Amino acid sequence: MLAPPAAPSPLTALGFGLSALLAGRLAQLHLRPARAFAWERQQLRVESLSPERGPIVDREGRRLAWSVPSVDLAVRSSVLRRDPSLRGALLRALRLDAAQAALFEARCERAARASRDRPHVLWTDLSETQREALAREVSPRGVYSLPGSTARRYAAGARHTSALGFATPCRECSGSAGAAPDSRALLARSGLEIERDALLAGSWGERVVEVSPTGAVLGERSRREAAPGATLRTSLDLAVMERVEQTLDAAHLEEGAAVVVDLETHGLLAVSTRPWLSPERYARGFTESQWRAVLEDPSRPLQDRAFRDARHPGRALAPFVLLATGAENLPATVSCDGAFELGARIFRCGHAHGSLDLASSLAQGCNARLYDAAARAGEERLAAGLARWGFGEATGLSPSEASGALRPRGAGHRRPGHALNLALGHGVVTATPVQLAAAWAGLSHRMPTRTFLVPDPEELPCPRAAPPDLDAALLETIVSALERTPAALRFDPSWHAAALQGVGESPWYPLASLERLRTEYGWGVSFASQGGRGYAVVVRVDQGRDTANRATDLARAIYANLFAHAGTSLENAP
Amino acid sequence: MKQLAPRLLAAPGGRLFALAAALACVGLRTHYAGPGAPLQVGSYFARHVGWLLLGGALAVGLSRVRLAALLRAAPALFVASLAALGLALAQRPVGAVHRWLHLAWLHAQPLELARLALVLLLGACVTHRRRAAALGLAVSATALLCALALAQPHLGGALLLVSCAVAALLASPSPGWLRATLSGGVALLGTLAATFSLHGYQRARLARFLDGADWQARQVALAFAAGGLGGRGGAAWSSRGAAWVPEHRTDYALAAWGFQAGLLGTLAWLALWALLAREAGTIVRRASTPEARVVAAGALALVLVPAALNACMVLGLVPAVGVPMPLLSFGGTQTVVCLGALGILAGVQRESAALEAARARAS
Repeated sequence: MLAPPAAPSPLTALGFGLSALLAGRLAQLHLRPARAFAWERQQLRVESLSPERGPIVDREGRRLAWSVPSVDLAVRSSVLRRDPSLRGALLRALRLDAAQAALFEARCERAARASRDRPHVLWTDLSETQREALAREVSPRGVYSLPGSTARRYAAGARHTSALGFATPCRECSGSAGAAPDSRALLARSGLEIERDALLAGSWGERVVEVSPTGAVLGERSRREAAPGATLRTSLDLAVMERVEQTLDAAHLEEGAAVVVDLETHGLLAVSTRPWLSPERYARGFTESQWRAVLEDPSRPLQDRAFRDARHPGRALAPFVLLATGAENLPATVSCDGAFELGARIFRCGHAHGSLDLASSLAQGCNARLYDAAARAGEERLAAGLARWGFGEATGLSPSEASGALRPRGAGHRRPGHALNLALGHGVVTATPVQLAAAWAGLSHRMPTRTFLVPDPEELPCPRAAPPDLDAALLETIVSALERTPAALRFDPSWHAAALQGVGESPWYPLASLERLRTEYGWGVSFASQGGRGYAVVVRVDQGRDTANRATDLARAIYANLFAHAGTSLENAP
Repeated sequence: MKQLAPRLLAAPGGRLFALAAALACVGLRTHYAGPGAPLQVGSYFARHVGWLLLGGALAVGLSRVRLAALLRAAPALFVASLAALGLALAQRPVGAVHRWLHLAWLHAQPLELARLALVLLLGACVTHRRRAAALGLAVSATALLCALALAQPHLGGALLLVSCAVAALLASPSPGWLRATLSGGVALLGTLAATFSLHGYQRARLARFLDGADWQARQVALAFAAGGLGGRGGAAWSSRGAAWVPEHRTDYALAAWGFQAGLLGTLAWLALWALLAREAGTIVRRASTPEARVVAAGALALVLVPAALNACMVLGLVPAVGVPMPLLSFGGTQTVVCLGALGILAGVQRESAALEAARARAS
């Protein structure tokens, strides 16, 4: 007789029930098609492929700006918080100067306070030495060296970025077509870099990748390569730029500008502005106090004095004033007794020069000739004549340059004295060093020409800016007079040189530092040639005393340096 | 040689060890297929093999030790566990939790050891002359351990402690009403403590589970679905699958096995656990002494409750609680403690069989 089956205990029933539940759930999950999960389709990611930014080269093909891969330093917030000694160790390994160390400390502080525990970039573009030191001296978990960024390098430590502009790594901007931020991208900030950005930047590529939910790339579905940026050839000459910098360094010029234009092609050869702020500092960033110090610096390092700082040209404008008045307003002789009366007002001249012809008055720096010509021609005619030489209009060399001022007053506000002020290069006219250099280069060519920075292959080497309907005889007379000015006579006799110097006073800055009110600045404007090479050099000295003579001396030193090493490569130069 | 396998299986604890070995092989296969070189020194696979060997040796050793000796050592083991837990709380947290004890080369989770110590302490309390005081002490010890677990914080660990205590108390020879009251009280206190000590992230996790918006659960479901009926093998897991599943070496190792072996593999794995549970249940039922029954019940809960909880968590039936799957998930302490508990079960079976044989001879 069979015994009846024993009733299962509650625990056994629980075990069976749980097993059945798990088996059923397993079957449900396993037999569901994977494609039924909607989120699987979201695991494709479109990534932008940043192109390599094209280099900028000088007229000889030497690199002025180029892109290089760089390595950044990143540290997790939790690591910074947990290990207070880490900052000191990183600082020692990076070997930063005081300003950089302050910036680094500020970034560490911000990263340590961040709520998200992710790698924070503390320093960019590590040098090989820094990387080795980090690997040797600091190697805790959570400290990363991130490759994959791009840095922009400039020749000669970025001293020439006044003409080139600069581009910095793009860490917070978006790529093309709204793509995700890409640290490999470079963002053009100023100058040629921003003006020719479309050419230099190239075109972005794209790839579609399959990623895991954690973001790891599992595979690549499609790829369109990025097209690298083109090479931009400029009229600049690295050797000339270096020699100009050497000359200014030797003269300890701290505030001023210098511009060199090639008389053969009328291309811009070199531009220097002092003081200057390295674009590498923009790439690194500033602390709040550092940025405030830059803004409050009385020498105004943010001001590009060659392109953006337009000031009264003084007597450097004289040849163009005389050309603007026309031969009919220039009598054969003008008598100078030290003053020129216009109605009730008296306009002074430095000396009583006596009766002088045009060439003598220009050579001796007589203001009376300029007063007389301006009084005859009037302000409107003077302004129209100056505009033909490019005054009051940007040269087009840089997108951020100042156009200077040339604003004849309206008929209701016009007074005869305004024209006399204008004739002396004051009043309603201001010009940048680049504008004056372009005008003087045209003077050497006996017609207004257009100076360029990027050669246009379809144009002539020396493009005209205006039709040459000038009084050739008058022009020749003026140029020959410029070759006999005291400034020109200070140049080497073997050079074929014309020169002039002018003085102005800085505008009134009521909110700037008081000690800089109404300080003097001097111009040294000239062109000279020797042995088939010719340059127009404009120097402006913005500091100290006797600025005009110092500017002329600097121009002479620049010519001497350039002529002495003509045809010598930069590497072989003494 | 042909006789050896049946003899080993017929020996006390033989079937238990065989089932545990089969489950351990599943774990080894899962980790062997993971990303990285498995045979490299220091790899997850190599370390898992080491822990299994260590745990196996401990299991065999504990199966040979008399239960009375273990019960005598229980108080010392419990105090040592408390000290380790306190030390872990005093140490620097890892990921904002104090679960790990770092002593030179040793990195262990003391709560796992505390569960084993609690089971043995409960067994020792049952045999004490002053049973009421001893039971009160057992409940207090459980509450103390739970408080330390929640201070880590480790909600899953606290729940496992409570489950071990309830299982042991239910198996004790006390009157039915007392057992029910004590076990119910412990369960209620544990649940209340766990509920009121929930942290913000745990509440958020619970809310996501109730809303069906748990990202981890969705990824795991996708891995199971990708496994299908027959699985996609270790190569596919290594190259593609592992990147999809979070914590695939520890808490969600079952999803890794499901991706590799499919429905057939996971059902086979489930069947192994069912057989092991049946074998362990038989050992508990046939335990010859009250203390042996209590210890065996506690050891059974120590092994089976985390397995059931982890399976339910991976399959999306309960919220994530951070409990690994015994013998499948990577982890040193829990593997060793789990195998140690199986060794204690085997020892109980051996002693019960010996006692039964002695009784048979006497009759």
